[in-house]
Amino acid sequence: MKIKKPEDLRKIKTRGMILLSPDTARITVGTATCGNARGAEKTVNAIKRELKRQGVKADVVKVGCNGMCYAEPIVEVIRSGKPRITYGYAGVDRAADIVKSLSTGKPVEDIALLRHDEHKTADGIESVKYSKGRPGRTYSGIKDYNKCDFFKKQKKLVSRNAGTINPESMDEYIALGGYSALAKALTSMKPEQIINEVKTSRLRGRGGAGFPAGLKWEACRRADGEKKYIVCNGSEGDPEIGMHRSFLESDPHAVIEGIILAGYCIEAQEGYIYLNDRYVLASERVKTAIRQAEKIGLLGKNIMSSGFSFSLKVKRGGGAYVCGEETALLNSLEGSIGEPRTRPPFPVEKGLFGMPTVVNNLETLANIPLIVEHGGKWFAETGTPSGRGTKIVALSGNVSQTCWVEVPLGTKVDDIIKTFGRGTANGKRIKAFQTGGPSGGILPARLLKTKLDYDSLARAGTLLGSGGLLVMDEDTDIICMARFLTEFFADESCGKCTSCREGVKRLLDLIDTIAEGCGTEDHLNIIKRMDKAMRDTSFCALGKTAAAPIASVIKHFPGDVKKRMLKQ
Amino acid sequence: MDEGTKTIIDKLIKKHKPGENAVVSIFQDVQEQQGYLSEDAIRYVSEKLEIPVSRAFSVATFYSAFSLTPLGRNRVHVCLGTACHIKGADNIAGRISRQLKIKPGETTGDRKFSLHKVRCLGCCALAPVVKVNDDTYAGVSQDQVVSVLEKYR
Repeated sequence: MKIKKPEDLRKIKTRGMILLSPDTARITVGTATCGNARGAEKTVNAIKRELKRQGVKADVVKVGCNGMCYAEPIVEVIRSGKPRITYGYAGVDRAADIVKSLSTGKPVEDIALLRHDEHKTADGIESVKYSKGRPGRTYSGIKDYNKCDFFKKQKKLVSRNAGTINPESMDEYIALGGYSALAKALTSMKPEQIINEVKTSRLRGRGGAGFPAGLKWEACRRADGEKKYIVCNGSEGDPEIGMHRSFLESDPHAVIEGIILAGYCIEAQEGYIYLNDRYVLASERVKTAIRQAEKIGLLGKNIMSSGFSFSLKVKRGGGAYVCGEETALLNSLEGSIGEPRTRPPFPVEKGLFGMPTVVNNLETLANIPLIVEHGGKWFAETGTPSGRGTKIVALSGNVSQTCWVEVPLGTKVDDIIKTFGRGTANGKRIKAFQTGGPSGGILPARLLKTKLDYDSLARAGTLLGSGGLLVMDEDTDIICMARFLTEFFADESCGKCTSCREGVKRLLDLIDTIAEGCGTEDHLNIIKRMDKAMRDTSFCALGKTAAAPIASVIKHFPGDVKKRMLKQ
Repeated sequence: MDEGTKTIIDKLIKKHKPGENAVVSIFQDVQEQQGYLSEDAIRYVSEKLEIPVSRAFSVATFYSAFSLTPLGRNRVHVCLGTACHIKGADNIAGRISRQLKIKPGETTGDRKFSLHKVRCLGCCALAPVVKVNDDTYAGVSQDQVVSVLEKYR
């Protein structure tokens, strides 16, 4: 069946709802990369074996990641009329207990993390009710989802479906309101109208530069070209950030819906999703999702009889950090080496194959359906003046709970670390933190009160980037950390411009000299001058920010640096 | 290059839309099938796609996903992402290097192992992480990593 009008989605929606909350039972296992690395696939098989052995019937469904990476593998049990129970640390050895809980009705208390009486989407419009009546005493020992700080303090707009729906089931995505924004747009909104909503929402790019998405679209719409392209940047090469991968593995349709909407606004006929070469599972799930959307006519010719035709392809990169830079990405898509291009002309005028192109980060695009559905004004209610909406943040390093969460922009960094990361692992003091991947500066603990948004982080001397937050405790050798990050740039510099290619190597030599105890004041001054020179003269952001880690260490950790200097 | 390999490459080329932009995808497939990009394979692809050999080589050498030498039967990936670095991944990498007597990017003489450093495997919660083929080992210590390697001998 092809979808022709918004009402056509209703039938699929009913089907999806039954899958999400079946009359029998549904057992879900988080099988994004983080879960699989902890053996989630083995848990899936063990649960299937136990169901057979114990003679119990239930659908076993692979879902994505709910963000609680520290507690993987995550298993959830949904029984008709009963609260949804989330189990953590559910290895193979717990499969028998979990399956047994289906027949006894008693949850496995020692690994039960949460109970969920109702799943509501971000806007509160769609919901799946699990419990009928009061859940009763059987569940009183298990924390209520709505009272659990880990979820209560998040605002799951973009990642609303992650961990709940089966990423390979379009029906489940549609059940929770998916593709209704696209249906609304294609049947009742003009491209200009949507662009205006996106402008009103003040949505800024979630990849690094933070350019307003609406303005980018408008520029591309106005540009002349016989063809136009939309490219979704899923390169995510930062060495500490896997949340966009997790997100794609959890809810690929959300990104696809955003891309189709963007394509409609700029009048593109073709789109590309460019993924990091290691994102094999994400790429498979996205491809499946594309085939499903094609099948019901949401991709292809004359979508919903609107006259708008659009096709979408997935391309995996070859493994180069610089390909996260939009013009390098375009070169890579064209089959060249991923060196950045001179700007202007900007991609919106002359991008992929010389045609006007919008390159948006995948998280930016996943926000679009929400804006179309609820309007730009609704969207702008969340966040701060310098950043509207939410941000997915990957928290890692020396924290008790490594996880990824979605919070309103403007949330304080230390709130994120305390609430979601539960502080450092063994009560150690936080020494430093870093946001925005390797290009962000290393900041001292006294700046932990900084708000996580574009301008506040920029004022503190770092950047929001694509949303990594790395915590370093008091045992961290901060010079070694700066060396590590500089070495990363030395490995990843594409070699096109002299200041970056040569600069990173010289920086590495200088840091080695300091690390070995032979540094002098002169060395520090050279680093400071190189930081400025590389910012002024490098071709792209990689070179411009390559000296940021060591320069910020010299600025914020003079004590650590002094201790390593040559004793004269 | 033998005729069999040529047929395989021909098939892979056909899979992708002709045009210059296919070269990265074709190399990815060739690498997956053959385990590496041989000089002959690179030349053959450039000839078929009608792009200069120099460009084909620049693509093959630019991206870290491609290897120009045959890889070992077991591919050991040690994550050197930031989160793993903080948890001591450098020591793990060093231990593997000493154990296998190869540096990252190299293959053992008996072709049993090749060692690769990667920047983030995407499971920072499990740091430090080592991946052998498709098996992921989480939170490994220096001693554990030695016994892990023994399993693949």
